[in-house]
Order: sequence, then C-alpha cells, then structure tokens
Amino acid sequence: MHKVPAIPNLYDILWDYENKNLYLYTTQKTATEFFESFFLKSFHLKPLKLFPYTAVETKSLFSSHQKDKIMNLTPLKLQCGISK
Amino acid sequence: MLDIAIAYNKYKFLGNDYLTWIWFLIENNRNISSIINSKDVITIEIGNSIVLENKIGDKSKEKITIKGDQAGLEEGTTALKKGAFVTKINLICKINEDEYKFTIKGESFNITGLKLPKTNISGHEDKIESMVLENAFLSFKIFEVIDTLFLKFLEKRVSDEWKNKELQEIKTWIEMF
Repeated sequence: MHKVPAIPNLYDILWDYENKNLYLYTTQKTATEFFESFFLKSFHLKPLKLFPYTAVETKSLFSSHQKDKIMNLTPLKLQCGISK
Repeated sequence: MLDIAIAYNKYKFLGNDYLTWIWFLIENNRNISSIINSKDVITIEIGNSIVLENKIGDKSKEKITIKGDQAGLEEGTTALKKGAFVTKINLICKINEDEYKFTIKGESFNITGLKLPKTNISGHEDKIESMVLENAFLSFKIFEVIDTLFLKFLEKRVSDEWKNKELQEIKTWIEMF
C-alpha cells in the first residue's frame, strides 16, 4: 500500500477590514461552509453571506418604511396582460 | 432579521427580478452611470449566456438556457412574454476602459468566472503584492457596481415611479417582441 498525498484546493480570500467585507473566491458549498466555521473559530466573527435579503438588511441605507415596502414585495409578473 | 435560510428562499425573487431588469436596461440603452450616480462611464452588455425560468403551476417549472457568443435571444424574449424571469446571466461590464466579464446568479448573487481587466503588472515575485492589490481594487470596483445597481433597483421598485412609469416601459418592451 502506498500513501497518496491529499491534493489541496486553494481559494483566495480578501478581507476589506475597514469596510467589514470579506470576499471568498469560490461558490463551492463545502468550501464556503468550512470557511464560515473556520473564520468564526479564528476570529469570533460570523460571516454573513450576501444575497438579496442580506444585501437589503446590511448594505443599504433604506429607511424602515422603505425596508417594510421591500419586504412586502412580490415577484414581478410581466407576462402580457398582467401587471403587478 | 429573519432566519437566513427562510429569508434566502422568500426573497430570492428579488435577485431574479433584478437580473430581468438589467436585461431591460441593456436592451433599452439606459445610462447605468446616471442610475447609480457614478462619475465613471459604465456600460453593460449581455455576454454569452442567459438562463430563464418560468413557473408552470405550483410545482413545475421550465428552464430556458441560451448559450453561445452570437446566440440570438428570441427564445428568451418569448419566454419573458410567457412570464419567465432571468435567473442567471453572463455580463460584460465596462467601467471606463476596463472590461469585466462574469456570470451572476440572481437568487444567491454568486459570481462565477469573473475575468478582470488586464493589468500591466507582471507576475514577477517582487510584484506579487502590487498584483494582488491591483486585482483586489478591480474586484471591489465591479462588486460595488453590482451591489449599488441592485439597491437602486429596489429603490425604484418601491417608488411611485415604478408602477406609473418603469413597469409600463418594461411591459411595452416585452410586448414589442
């Protein structure tokens, strides 16, 4: 039996410390989940993934009135004859 | 804040609507720079792929994928007419002279295949730090455009102008096909 060395996967990370932004250069679920828990263990900071909802909550300067309106939006209906 | 998993599913349509709106902006030659109040000259074009989805009934959905450098978008526009929305799109964004290419997914804002503009800094060992900083700077620039444009979309979406003007214009555009 021979030992086969593991092949590591390397991903770039950028931490924009001043603006509290982290950029992880992969979309692989296992890698992102591992990174999240590793980052939390290392720095006691929980990274929050940016997607539509979290972008509104964390990146916007919307008033609470605007946020309420956004949270009550429904998907656009664009087929001919329907407008919403 | 809502539970993250619930919020992800509940509001993923905002990302898809956003990508559909970007397609509208591109096709109608809207001035991206003025929308996001940027001093840079910003243009966006559709790259080599676009994916649309259309819900059929409660559980089924059809998926329309168009790929290719010179691909026509007729199937996509027909799908739009039937109520489909964009879920993933490959975009070419120019900020002044710099060209960025990437694919963005609406529900997660995942960006894949990001190609940054070429820089003059070589990959020489003593230039590595400059190269990393330059790439970081360029990455931040494109991410800022994407994020700002999304927030502008939402600002418009909840404004009075949306129903009276923007939505009508989008519908007119779709009906033109």
